[in-house]
Amino acid sequence: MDDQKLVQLCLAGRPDAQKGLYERFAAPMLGVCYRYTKSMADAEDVLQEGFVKVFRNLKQFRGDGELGGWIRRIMVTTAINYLKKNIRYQTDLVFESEHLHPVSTDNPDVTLGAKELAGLLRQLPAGYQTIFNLHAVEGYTHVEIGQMLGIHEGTSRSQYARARALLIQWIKIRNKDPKTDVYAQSGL
Amino acid sequence: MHNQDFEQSVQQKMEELSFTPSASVWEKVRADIRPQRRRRVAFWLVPLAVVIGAGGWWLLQEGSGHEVAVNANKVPAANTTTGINSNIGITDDRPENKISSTVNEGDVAGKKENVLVNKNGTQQNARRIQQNSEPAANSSIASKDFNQKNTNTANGTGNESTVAAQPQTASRTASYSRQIFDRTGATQHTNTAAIEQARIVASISLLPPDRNQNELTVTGSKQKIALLRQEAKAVAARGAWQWGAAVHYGVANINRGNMVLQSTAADFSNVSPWPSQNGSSAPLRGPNLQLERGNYFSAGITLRRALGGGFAFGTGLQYERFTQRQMVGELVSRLSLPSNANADALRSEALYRDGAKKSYFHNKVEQVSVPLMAYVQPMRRVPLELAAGVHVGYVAGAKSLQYDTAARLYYAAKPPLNTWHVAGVAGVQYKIMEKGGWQLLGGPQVQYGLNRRNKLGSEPQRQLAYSVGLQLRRR
Repeated sequence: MDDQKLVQLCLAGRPDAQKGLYERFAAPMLGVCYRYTKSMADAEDVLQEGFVKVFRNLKQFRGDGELGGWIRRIMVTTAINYLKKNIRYQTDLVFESEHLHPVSTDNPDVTLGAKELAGLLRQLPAGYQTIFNLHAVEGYTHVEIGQMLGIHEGTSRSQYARARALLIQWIKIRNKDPKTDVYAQSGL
Repeated sequence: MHNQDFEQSVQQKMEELSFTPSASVWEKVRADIRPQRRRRVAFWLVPLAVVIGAGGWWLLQEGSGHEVAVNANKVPAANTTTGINSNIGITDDRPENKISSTVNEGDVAGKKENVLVNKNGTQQNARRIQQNSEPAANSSIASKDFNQKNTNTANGTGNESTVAAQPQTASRTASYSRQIFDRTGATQHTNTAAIEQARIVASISLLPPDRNQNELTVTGSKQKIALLRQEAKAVAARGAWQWGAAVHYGVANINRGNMVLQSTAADFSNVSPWPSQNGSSAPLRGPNLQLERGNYFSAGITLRRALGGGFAFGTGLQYERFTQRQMVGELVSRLSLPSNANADALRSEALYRDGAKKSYFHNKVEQVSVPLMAYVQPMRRVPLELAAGVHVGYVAGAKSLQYDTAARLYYAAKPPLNTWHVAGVAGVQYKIMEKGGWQLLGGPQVQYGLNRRNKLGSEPQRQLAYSVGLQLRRR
C-alpha cells in the first residue's frame, strides 16, 4: 500500500491503517529519537509523542514529499522540544558561544557499526549532540539550527566544530581499541 | 571547509539505525489519538453522575423517614410526633379530636400492630386521664391497656375501640399524636404517661421533621393505613415474582467482528451498497462493520424473584444494540479505485458520491438476549444491590447506513450473521427512589461478550460495553 493511500485511510479513522503506518515507520524513527536522547526510555517517550503529533497533523501532509521525511521532521522537532522541557537535559543543553574551534580536517575511517557510532554520539553533551545531529545527520544549516534552537548561528558553528572534533577523537580511539572508555579519556 | 566525507559516512551509518520499540508505545499512541471520544464519554458521564448523586441524596432523605417508621414499630409507645404536632393546630371542635381512639390494623409482617390516635395535650393531661377515669373506662383507654383492646377485638367489638371523651380542657391547639405500639412492648407498661416522658426524650433523635411523618399527621389514619398496607405488600412480595423494565446506555467496543467480511481492501469495494457488484448473487463482500468504539443501548423487561437473605434471581428478555458512526472517507473522489473487473461499477459509484466532503457509516449490530442474573443486597439497610450473571442471546443482524455531507443516504447490504452470543455481566444497582410500590434503581454495568464464529468463517467477535442504566421495578 502506498503512502498516500495509507494516509487517506488513517484520516478516515481506520485503526488498522493507523497501526500499519506506525509499524512501517516506528523502527527507523526510534533510531532518530535514540540519537537525540540519552536513554532508550527517553527515546520511546519522544517516539510516542512524535507519533501522536503525526496522527493529529496528518491532514497537513500534502503528499509533496516522502511521508517518511515528513514524519522524521516531526520526530526531530519533538526530540528538541523534549530536550528543552526535560530537566535532565536542561543543564547539559547550554549553547554558550565558544571561541570558534578550527574544524579538524581529519577523515577517520568510520568502520564502527551504526549502533556503536550512535552510542558515541550519545556520549556527547546534549548541546553538542543535538547540533551535530541536526547539521551532520539531518542536514540543517547553521542558520536553520540557530532558528530552531534560538541561538546564534556562530554558536551553532562553534559547538558543531567542538562536537565533531570530539567525535573524531573518540572514533580514532575506538578504531585502535574498541573497548576503551572514550568518555573517560575525553576529559569531559 | 568541513571534510564532507566524514559527515556523509556518519549520515549513512545513522540512516541504518533502527530499533524495535516496545509494544507499550503503540498502546499509548493509540490511546492518545482518541481524545475526542474520551471527551464525549466524559460529557455523558458528568450529567449521569449528577443524576445518580441527586438520586442518592433523595434516597437518603427518604431513607431517614423509613428509619423512623421502623424504629417506631420497635419501640413501644414511642411518641414519634412530638416535635411536629404542636404546629398542626387541630381544634377540639372536630369530632375526631374529642376522643382518643385506637386503630387496630391487620396482620402486618406477622405482628398485630395497634395504632393509637390520641389527643394528649400535655403529659399532665395523660396522667389525669389515667387517674380520674373509672376502672372500666380506664381499661378501655387504648393507649393505656393493650390487653383490654385485644379483649374487645376478641369479643367481636371490632378493632376500633372508642374511648369516652375525657373532660379535657387542654388548649384548642392540642397535639394529635400518632403512636405505633408493639403488642408485647405495650403490655409491659401500664403507666404510659410516666413512661412516655422518657420515650419522648428517647425518640427525639428519631424525629427529623421529614415529610412522611408530616403527611401521616396531617392526613390522619387514611395515610397511615395506606402506609401499613404498603408495608404488608412489601412483606408479601418477598418470595414472589417481581417485574419491571430496564434500560442501559453506554460505550462499547466490538473487536474483530463477524461483520468484517473480506474487508482488508481499503477501497469502496468493501463498503458498497450494491451487494452483487462482483457478479455473485451472494454478497461476498459485506459492509465493514468492525466497530472499534461505539455506543451501547439496551432495553428490556425483567423478572425477579427474591430468595430471602438478600439474595434474588432475575431473568427477562433484552434487546441490545451497538451503534457506531465511522467516517469512511474524506474528499471521496481522491480515493483510488481498485483495478479489478468491477472497476466500471466502482468508478460510477465513486462518481456518484463525488461532491461530498465526508462520508460516514452508521453501523448497527442488534441482538436479543436473555439475562440470567443473581442479585445480592450485602447490607440490609443500604439499598445497594450487586448483580452478576450472563446474557445468552442471538445476534439478529448487522446493518449499516451510509450517508455523506451531500445529504445522500445509502443502505449498505449486509449478510445475516445468525450466530449466538454469550456475555458475562456484572453491575451495581442503587435504589434511587421508591413510591407507590415502585422502585427505581440505577447504576453502572460492565459486559464482556463473545459471539460464536459464524458460518462465513470470520473470527469470533468480542464485545466490551460499559453502561449506566435504570431499572423500574414493581415491588
